[in-house]
Parts: sequence; structure tokens; C-alpha cells
Amino acid sequence: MNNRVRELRSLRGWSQSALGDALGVSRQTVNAIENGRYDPSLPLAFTIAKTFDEPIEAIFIPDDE
Amino acid sequence: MERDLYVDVMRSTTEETSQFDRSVRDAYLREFGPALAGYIVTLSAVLVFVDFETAGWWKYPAALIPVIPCLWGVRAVARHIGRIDEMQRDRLLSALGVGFGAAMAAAITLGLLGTMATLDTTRWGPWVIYGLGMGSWGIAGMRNSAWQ
Repeated sequence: MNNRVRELRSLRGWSQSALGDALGVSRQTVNAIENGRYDPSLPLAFTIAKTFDEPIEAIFIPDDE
Repeated sequence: MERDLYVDVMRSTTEETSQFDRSVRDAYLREFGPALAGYIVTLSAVLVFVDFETAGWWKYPAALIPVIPCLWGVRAVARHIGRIDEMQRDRLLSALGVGFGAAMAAAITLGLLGTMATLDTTRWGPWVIYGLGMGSWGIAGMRNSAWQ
């Protein structure tokens, strides 16, 4: 699954650790999500969407799209 | 909300380690540290003060005294698993599964050697199982961390 987490974080000028704190996860987890090495659970994906004030489908994109 | 978050998060923009990471690490060290210290102290005390060659029945409970801080360590690890985030938990538990598998394979191997080939493994066998289990857990954990 692809995602726009790095793009949205960069647009806001947030660091990975700052985003991690906002989401309640580690910096390593934010890094893994951004690099596509970890797909977040549905609750975490919703938290990410809420944090960026974007719909979830605007952040996470299936591979086949 | 986003503006408040922006103000909050910019305070830690330059920090490599997040507040979440630090609080999880500190809580783990605060709980596991005393367990490790307790193990070292009780093991040293038992080895120094108990003569297992001549001691009576009480050598058995005395030998088990270091297990008490170990149980505290198990509690610390269990609580740590509850505190870490979902990805860390996933990777830690998968590494733990590898360690468990290695320990079981070692136990079966030594069990067969002991029961069928009558090899006396009573003194060193449990430590081989422990070492392989912990070592495999550690190696699998490092491999999982490298994926991040």
C-alpha cells in the first residue's frame, strides 16, 4: 500500500518524531510507514487521517490504483 | 486543532528521539533495571553464602531465590510489550516467536539425547536452551529492527 504520510508531514514542517508523538507511536514506526515497510492498523490509519485533517482514502492508496 | 499540534510538535522538531520513545524506554528501564540488579544481587548472595555440597533440604529454595527477581523481569517485559506501539509489538513478538521456536528445538534435541542416548545434560542442558532461545530472540529482533 502506498501513502502520502511523508508528503503531508513535510508540508506541515513536522519531524518524524513530532508526528510520532502526535500519533502515540515511535519515530521508527512513522519512518517505516513512510517508506512502505509497515502498513498501519485501521485505528492508526484513522488517527493519521484525523491528524492531517484529510480523508483516509486521500492518504492511503492501494497498490493497484 | 492542527495549529495547536503544529506548535506542540515544532518543539521537538530537531529531536531524534520522540517523547513517546523516551517515555517507553524510561519506563522499561525503571522496571527492568531493579529486576536485573535484584537477580545479580540474589545470585551473588546465594553463590557466596550457600554451600550446596553440604546444605540440607533448604538448598532447593535457596537455589530458587534468584528466580524471584527474574519473575519481576518477566513482568517488566510484559508491561513493556503493552506500552510499545503496534509495529514495535508486532516485530518484538515475531522475534520472540523465533526465540521460542529455537528454545523448543533445543529442548527436544537435548531431551532426545538425554532419554534415548542417555547423555547427561542435567547440568548444562537448560543453559543451552536458555542461550539459544535468548540469542535467537535477539538476532531476530535485530533483523526486524533493520527493516525499519
